[in-house]
Amino acid sequence: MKSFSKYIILLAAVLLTGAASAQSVRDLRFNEILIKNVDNFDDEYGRHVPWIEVFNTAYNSVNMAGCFITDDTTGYADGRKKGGNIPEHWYRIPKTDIHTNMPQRSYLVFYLDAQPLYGTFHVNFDPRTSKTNYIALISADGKDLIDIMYYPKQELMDSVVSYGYEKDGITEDKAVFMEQFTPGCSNEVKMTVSKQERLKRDDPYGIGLAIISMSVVFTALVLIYLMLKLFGYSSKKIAQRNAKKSEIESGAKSSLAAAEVKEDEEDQLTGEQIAAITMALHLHFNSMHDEESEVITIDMPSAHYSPWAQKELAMKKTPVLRRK
Amino acid sequence: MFDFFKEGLIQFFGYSGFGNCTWGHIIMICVGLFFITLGIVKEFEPMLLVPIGFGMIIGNIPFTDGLQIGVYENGAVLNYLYFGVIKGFYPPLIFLGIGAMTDFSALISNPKLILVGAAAQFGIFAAYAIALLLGFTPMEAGAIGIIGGADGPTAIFLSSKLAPSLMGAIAVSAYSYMALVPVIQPPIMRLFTNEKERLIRMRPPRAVTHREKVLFPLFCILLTAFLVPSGIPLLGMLFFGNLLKECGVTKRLANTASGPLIDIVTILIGLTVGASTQATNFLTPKSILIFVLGAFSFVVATATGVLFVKFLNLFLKEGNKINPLIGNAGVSAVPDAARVSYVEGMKYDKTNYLLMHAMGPNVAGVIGSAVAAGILLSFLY
Repeated sequence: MKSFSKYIILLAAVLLTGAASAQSVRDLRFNEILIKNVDNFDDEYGRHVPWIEVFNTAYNSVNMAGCFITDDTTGYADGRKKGGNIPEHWYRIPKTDIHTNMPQRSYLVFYLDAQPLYGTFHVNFDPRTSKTNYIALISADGKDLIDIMYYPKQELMDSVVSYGYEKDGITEDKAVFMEQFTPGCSNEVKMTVSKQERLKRDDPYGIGLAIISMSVVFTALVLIYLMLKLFGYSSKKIAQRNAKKSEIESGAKSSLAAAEVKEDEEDQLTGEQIAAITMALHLHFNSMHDEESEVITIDMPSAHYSPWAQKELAMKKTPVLRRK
Repeated sequence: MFDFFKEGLIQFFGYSGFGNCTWGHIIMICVGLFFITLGIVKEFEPMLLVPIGFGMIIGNIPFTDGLQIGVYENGAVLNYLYFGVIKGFYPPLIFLGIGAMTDFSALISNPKLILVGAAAQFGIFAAYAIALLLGFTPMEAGAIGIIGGADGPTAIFLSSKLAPSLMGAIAVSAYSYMALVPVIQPPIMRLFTNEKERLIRMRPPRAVTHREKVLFPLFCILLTAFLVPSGIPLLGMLFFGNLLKECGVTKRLANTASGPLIDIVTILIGLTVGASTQATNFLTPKSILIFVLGAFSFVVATATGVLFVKFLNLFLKEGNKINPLIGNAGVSAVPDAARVSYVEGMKYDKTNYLLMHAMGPNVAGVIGSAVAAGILLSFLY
């Protein structure tokens, strides 16, 4: 029974690992594409070729090695091993290149130049000669379509403009023609004004900030003030309730208490007596004495009390001649 | 042979402090000695001024670059210790200790005193506005303004985020003015109050229950942190420390936070902040401006605290009035500002003990300056 449980746990672990891995690759999205590349982003060889950008939407690294990029998804549902061959236009991303491991929220550019021998990031098809108007990303087993990006082929062929999503990885939105080319970085590049610049522009004398800040400081401390007021009110109520309760209890035992009070009054100590006792206790617990146990003397210490390092006392004493 | 010795001596001299000394180094060493003297002889904040002063001496002994000695050199021991200042993790640890040491009873028993702590923060924003006019960037102005909060750890925390290059000047300025509270505040207090106001007797505070003391840090962190989340590092540690103290079941933790821990961090922060004032980085016109602005901020904070109490008194019945001499305690130099209130009060009435009352706005000032730092951080960072 025990070994059976072990197998179940092992199987679950394997399945979970697989699922986790598959889930990671599924976080990849095509983000931006450019086909007519005149003087734009160039590859390692200085050539201006079409490119497509992949974005890792996950907050963990994803290795896309083994996955396929294609412009023809025919047969993907049957898996890549149909007939033992990978379909012609399927570009398999090599597993040997460490650069295919994408850090969280990062970007990777593939060159669509039909030159797979030029390197890992050069696919084996070219959209300019392709019959389709999409690019697809397929999982390593060839069965899952991870992402597909349709693009207006004619417009992209005719004009130097890229096409992508305004917000990185949000493929639910409609892709648009981009105002800027952003290969390898975020599409959300807009001229933004920093907080500092905005403050300097809108509040050059700091009066606005002072008013807002003082309002917030006062709000925070007024909230605490109200809370403390509530504390005070509730503790007063509790004290009153307790006093009332003890009054009722004491009423029931009034006769007994009366006798006790009389006795207490007789035993009541005066302020001076309490002070004297308190002082005595204080002296006792803090080891303070009028007379200390140590004896102060001007006599030379004997060898018995000498510190070990006092060489003079460790030496043999000169014999004293006694005369009778 | 003679040439060899001569060259060796010249080379040695080149490596020594004498060979690299400039007037800047000498001035800064003198400032360090002055701080140590103030701390030891006058006993002005000795726990801060002695480490800072000694740090200034260490930081300004001239040396040849590249030997991994200086506080700004990667790999130097001082650089590792300075890391806690740059990354801002010393100040929250100090706040933990402050929380574990502070008794908020005075505040809980007389809640309206907390508003004085809020009013005194105006100095921060007044200095911010003036710094902007003098040409500092908003971030630099925010870091300079916090000097008016009179809270060294908060000043270091905020300047490490907003203007790291000015941190040395800001920290030294903040600690200097904190130490000089007994010198700076009394004239301002006297200027804005009359004889009659100085003699106001305040009602004795009511007894505060254990339950109130335990609930106080819990409610306070919820209220303030939700309002200003950027103040969490300081406020969170302050109220956590106070909970350790008041809950009664974590005595050991409270003792550590308020004893050895805060002592260690105070030593490290004081020494490294002092060492960061290397003449080459510190002796600039900007530093002088920061000192001037810091003083201005401190004066405004004291004045607004006193004036706000007078304003509050307009609405309070006879017998409930507040002595304006405790208004200065709204700046968070704990407990020196409260002690100044007490001393000033005693000058006019030997039987008017203001210390306990002044502790209310004083601890409110700690909360107020931490909230103000959080606001500046959220606006400027």
